[in-house]
Amino acid sequence: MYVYILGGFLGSGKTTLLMKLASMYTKRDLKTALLVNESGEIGVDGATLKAEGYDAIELPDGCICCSLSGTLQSALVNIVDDIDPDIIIIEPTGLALPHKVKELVASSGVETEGTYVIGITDVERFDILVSKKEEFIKRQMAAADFVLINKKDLAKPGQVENIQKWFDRELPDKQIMVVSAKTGENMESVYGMMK
Amino acid sequence: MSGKTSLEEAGGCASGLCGTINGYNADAEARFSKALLQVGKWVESEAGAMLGHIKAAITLDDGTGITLNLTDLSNGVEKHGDLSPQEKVNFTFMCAVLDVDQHELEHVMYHALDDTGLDYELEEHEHCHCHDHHHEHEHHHHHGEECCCHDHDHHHHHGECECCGCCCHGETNNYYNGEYHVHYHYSCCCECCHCHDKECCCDDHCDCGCHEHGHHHHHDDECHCHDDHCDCGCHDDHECCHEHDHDEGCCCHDHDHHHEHEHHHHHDDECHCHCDECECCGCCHCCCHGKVNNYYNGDYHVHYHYSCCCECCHCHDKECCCHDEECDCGCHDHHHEHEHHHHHDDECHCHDDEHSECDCHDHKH
Repeated sequence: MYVYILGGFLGSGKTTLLMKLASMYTKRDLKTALLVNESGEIGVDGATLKAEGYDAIELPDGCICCSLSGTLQSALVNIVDDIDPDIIIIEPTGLALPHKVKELVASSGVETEGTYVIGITDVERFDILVSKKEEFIKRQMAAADFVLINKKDLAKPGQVENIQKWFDRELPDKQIMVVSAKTGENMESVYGMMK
Repeated sequence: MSGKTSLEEAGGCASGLCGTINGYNADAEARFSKALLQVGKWVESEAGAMLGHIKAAITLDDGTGITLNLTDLSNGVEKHGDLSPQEKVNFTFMCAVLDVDQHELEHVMYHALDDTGLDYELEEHEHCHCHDHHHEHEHHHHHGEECCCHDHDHHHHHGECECCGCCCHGETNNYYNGEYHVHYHYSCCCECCHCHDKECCCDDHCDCGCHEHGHHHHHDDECHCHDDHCDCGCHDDHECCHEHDHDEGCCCHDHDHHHEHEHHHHHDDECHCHCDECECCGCCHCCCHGKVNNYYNGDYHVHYHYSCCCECCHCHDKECCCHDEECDCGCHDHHHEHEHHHHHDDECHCHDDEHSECDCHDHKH
């Protein structure tokens, strides 16, 4: 069993990516469990997934990297016991720190063949986000095994290059792919990266 | 790092609410989308940029339906799924954004829902935050009939409070502590103002000391027992003075030396009942002789023996000074042989036109 953690800021496209990945794994006949976490008391992403034909386990009203850490670990154990999936995809809140989630998965007692963090960032709002919350974004992306620069379809000239320069400067060892989870552009390369 | 949650570390906040909408159609969807935009614009105006997402799900009981997602104001609201017109649908509405106050965010979310004009109700009372920040709305329709926020008597501060006039503290009433309104009676020392009910409970909770006494006559303007201005000294020797005036059994009026007074000497500053320095002036104004009598100070009558110059009328004591030489009132000129003056009682008729009743005069003149 592999576990994937989608790490990225609010609105970066994690849920859309989640659906794409779930769809891809379903096509490969792999049993996939989706675990969605939202900060608010009321979850919406579960409904979004339901609307798109996916079932997901929702963990609302907190963050699985901190306030809901125990809930996450219990949920993982239950998922393994009840579903025994081939793949678990975890979508934390957009304010979660993925490395913490990864640590929690490791200490949950669930045996995995590998746990990976996919960093995802929004091409449109990257600049303003970095200008306001650079340190936080850096911490989110630092844990990523590879990074997706998402919403390529909305990118203006020079935006993608600027983001790449930032990663080259701040996190030079990160493998980066420019995609559009919504349109599916360049998603094949992502699938190729995954087990 | 610190013990902060990731939400706190990022400076973000999240809030959500859910309920039902009666009458869903394309217009309702558009109205809900507008609510998301309204909140998004507010976030942008507050934080400088809308960093985060605002989402809504409108679903049937089986979970199918649509979701609305706003992450970028310039891109507008994204919609996922389809939903045909329905009589009643469920909705969830949530925001996770940076750099705004959570209570204000909730407030704005409620307003945005209100402004849609949709016929909706919130499902769960615990999502009502009226008690958290007490925005001054008289009514939120989303409270529906289940909301009891405004049923509580302590909500009269939303416009009905009359505590302002409480004389106990003489101050303003409710105040806002930054998170919610604190009622006047919580801010005052007793923490439970009698103004708010008919049965004063000051004694039950108050630790200010003022209320230790059984009665609260200081709540009106009549009691001045503890006022500093009373310096007559009369009460100095009476242990009861600090006690009796606090109950209805005030014994001030019981004292012999006060029994004739309609009013207490402590009502003015001129009391010298027990003043040792009192010297008789000769009673020139003794009322017994038809001259200056009691006077009225504007509020009440001051008794004769206080008004006369000696401040201690001989009429009221055994040591009559009427015959003292210094008395030049003239009255004594023709009474000097009398051992006792009838004016020592209340039936003095010395100067009545008819002296016949006084036998003193009959055989002496």
